[in-house]
Amino acid sequence: MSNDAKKLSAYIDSLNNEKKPVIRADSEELNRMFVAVRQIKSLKPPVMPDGGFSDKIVQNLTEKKKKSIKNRRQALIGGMAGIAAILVLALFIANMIRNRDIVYAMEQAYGKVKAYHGILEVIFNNEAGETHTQSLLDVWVDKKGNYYIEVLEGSYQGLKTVRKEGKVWQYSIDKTVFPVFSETYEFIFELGNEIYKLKNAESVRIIGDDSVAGRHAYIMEVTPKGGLPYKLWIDKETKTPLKKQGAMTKAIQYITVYTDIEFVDSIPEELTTIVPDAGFKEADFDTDKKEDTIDNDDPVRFTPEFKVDVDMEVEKAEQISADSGSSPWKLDPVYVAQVFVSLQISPEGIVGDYPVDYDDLVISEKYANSVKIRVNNEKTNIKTVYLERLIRQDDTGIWTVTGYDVSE
Amino acid sequence: MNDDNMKSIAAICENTWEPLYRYIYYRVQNREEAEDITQETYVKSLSYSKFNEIEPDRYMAFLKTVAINIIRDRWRKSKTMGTNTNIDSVPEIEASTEDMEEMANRQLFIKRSLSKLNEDQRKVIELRIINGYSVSETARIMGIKPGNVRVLQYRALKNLVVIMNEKEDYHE
Repeated sequence: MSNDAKKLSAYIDSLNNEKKPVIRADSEELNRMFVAVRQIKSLKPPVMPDGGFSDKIVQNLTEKKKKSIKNRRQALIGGMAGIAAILVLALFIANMIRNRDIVYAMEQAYGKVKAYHGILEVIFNNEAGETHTQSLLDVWVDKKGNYYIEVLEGSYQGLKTVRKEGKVWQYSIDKTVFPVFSETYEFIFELGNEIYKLKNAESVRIIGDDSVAGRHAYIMEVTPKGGLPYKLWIDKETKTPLKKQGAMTKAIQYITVYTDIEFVDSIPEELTTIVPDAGFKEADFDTDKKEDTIDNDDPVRFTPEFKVDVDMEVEKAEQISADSGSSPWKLDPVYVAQVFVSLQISPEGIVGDYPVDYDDLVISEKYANSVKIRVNNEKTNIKTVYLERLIRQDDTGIWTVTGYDVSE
Repeated sequence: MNDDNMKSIAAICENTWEPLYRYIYYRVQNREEAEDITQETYVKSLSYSKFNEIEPDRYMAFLKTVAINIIRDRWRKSKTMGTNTNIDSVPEIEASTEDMEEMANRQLFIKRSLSKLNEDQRKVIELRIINGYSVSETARIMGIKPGNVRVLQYRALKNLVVIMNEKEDYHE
């Protein structure tokens, strides 16, 4: 199937889900098809906003109005508190049974799945409440641990990652192999993993109902053991996770959502057939790391020109968050440096693409628990970033920026 | 902002948001973007220093003009970011909604173009785009594999674009 056919399908899915399409047309022909899709959809009556949209507009227009509405809401909540208190105990008992039943139902439903195929959208929110799509992935996964992931949209568009029989292969259009999903980083939204985490969570509770990709879903709040709470949307019909919203860390919050998902018997053979001559390279992430690392048991301390204040309490929380799988990027020093430099350029938050590309940062020295990264980008005066593993000194430890240089 | 102004803004929004939203939705065909643009239209329009000088019966025309400029700006920006959006398609749709007869003709034109497709192609477009079914639901209804749904809808739209262009050339 051509890439254009997949893009067209993802474009239709976005409009069907009443979402702004993020997919790009790379050709005039595909663009004409996008226009045709919109024209066909115009045969249907519009989907109207939820009730109170007019009020929402007025709220946005005036801070004063916002405050008065907030005050009114608080007064209403106060008045309702007495009635709510009476209902709490009964609901608590009913919910405990309901929550446990749903996790069990999910486990049973997933037991029958052989493989699945979905379009996964990776979204991030910044502190200003703005939402941006980072990437759109075509994902095929089976229960033998094999997968095929193709980046349809995003910085690494065209990158294909295949895991087959324990080995990981990658194909990149621009020949730059970048590990989007490595063995270390854990595939970010694998259904089996999510159900396993639910089973082993400290607490799981249903906090509401919602609609995801046109499907009715429960919203669950999951608190992992020793981790930060996150939200998971569960399809009421198939009992599978559809969407995950991590905690806000460093002014960024990641959301991963299957905009389309189907259950299949297996991953199509042609997707996992590796032809090294066609540009596929075996990606041995562990070997890459060891080659870069200079063996040294003694802690290596760099002396940066500017030191960055580190709040160890925040770092501890982020380590817990990474352990629970919600911020896997913190395990990649280059990515952490990219976010740091980007936030120096845009302290109010990152809007759209990162101002500094991942490829603009190069590891120049790497030790077991410290790393020096060179920045090759004219948008910033930062030339070097220093990072350390402050919380845990092994492959599962997160990286923290501890300093930077502005001179060469 | 005093209470009178607040009441007046609330009244303007209450009386105009629905036709404005429909007007925007018709162009973008998704609720998320239509809501965003509707909100942005009010923010821009009501912060316009001479808004008070506009006659109330011209509010709707003014709001529509602001909205269409926001849509054009957004599409222009997405074009510079690499999205090959056809900005020229905006006035064409605009004209069709300004005139109900023209809008009806446009819909008839789309329906006639769809009727030129073969049965499977017409069916896949009906299920996926008009009824809004997912690929897997469409596959189940049509009794084919999901991958084939994507291929079929791609071919259907490719043909439809050709048919629509031919018809437009003929009309011209």
